[in-house]
Amino acid sequence: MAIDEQPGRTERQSGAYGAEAANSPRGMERRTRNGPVGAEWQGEVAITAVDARSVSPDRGAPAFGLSRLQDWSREQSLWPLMMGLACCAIEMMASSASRYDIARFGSELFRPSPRQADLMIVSGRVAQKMAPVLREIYDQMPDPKWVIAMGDCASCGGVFNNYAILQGVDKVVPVDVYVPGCPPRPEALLDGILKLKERIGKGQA
Amino acid sequence: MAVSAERLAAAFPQTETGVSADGIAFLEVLPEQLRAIVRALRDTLLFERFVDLTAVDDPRREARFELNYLLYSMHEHAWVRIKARTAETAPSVVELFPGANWYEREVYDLFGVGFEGHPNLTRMQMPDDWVGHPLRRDEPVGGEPVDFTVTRDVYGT
Repeated sequence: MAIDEQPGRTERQSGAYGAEAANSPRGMERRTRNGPVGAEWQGEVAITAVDARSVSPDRGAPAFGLSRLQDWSREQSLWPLMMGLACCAIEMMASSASRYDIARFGSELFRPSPRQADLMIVSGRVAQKMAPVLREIYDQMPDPKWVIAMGDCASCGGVFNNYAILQGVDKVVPVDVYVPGCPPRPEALLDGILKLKERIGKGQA
Repeated sequence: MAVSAERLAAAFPQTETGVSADGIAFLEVLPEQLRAIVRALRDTLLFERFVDLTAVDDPRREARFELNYLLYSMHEHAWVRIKARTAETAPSVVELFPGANWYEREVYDLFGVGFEGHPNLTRMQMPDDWVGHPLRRDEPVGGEPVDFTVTRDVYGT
């Protein structure tokens, strides 16, 4: 029985949250998984109509060619947004404490305000009720912005495969790096951040 | 320490009594008697503290939802449980115990039991436009089908 036909979905959704960007009131986009997970996932395309990366592929590089410097400075000063939702937030706090010290990689402070942050580390499980809030906070972040899905619950719903938890935060926001683990160790989160920084520095993210 | 079932039976002769597996005595009442019994327990027997309200769903029975109220007496350091079976609605005890407000909203949200006389019976855990009551036994568990090896070999999914 496909997820669409089961009772309990809200009337304005079908399947993944925000299935049609045109119909959904907030214009949410839909991402697809890599690889089939059940028959209903095959043959679907990724709709990224409102994805920031497709709108400005050069990421706002100025005409006089300082883009390498811009990429380097964006990479070296990534300010994360405090999107600590559940247990993974504890490991995120641990990674910012003195032993694992995220500040030595440029993330000197975690910003509670999305207007001043450029990296959203979604750490923890996202409930169905929290999903539009998460999307709104993501929309309030100015470009360029990146998203790390920290932990199993943010990546795929984790152990909570049920009616209440969003099965992967990539259903509502586009994710750049997935860091698996339950929770991932601080070193794993730092590894994910470093991989993202590599790609930002090369202008690929 | 639990109040004895015999004492409850003596105080409320028109109900059934018993002892649960955790040693707490329970009263089995009809939903219509609920308010009167709860008021008597609170005022006469001094079970003044409302602890919990949950529901258990058994769809095989006509009155499928069994509401479980848990009250506590600080004078005797004892609990008492009240069970009421209902098919659809039950009277609300919010005037007697204001703390029952959100518990009744939760039971309404997850089971669909309406509480008559509740000031604000709306959904609490699920989104406001959710269709269905997730903790009923005939609702699907939800989530997505996952391609595990064991489910592929054993269950053929």
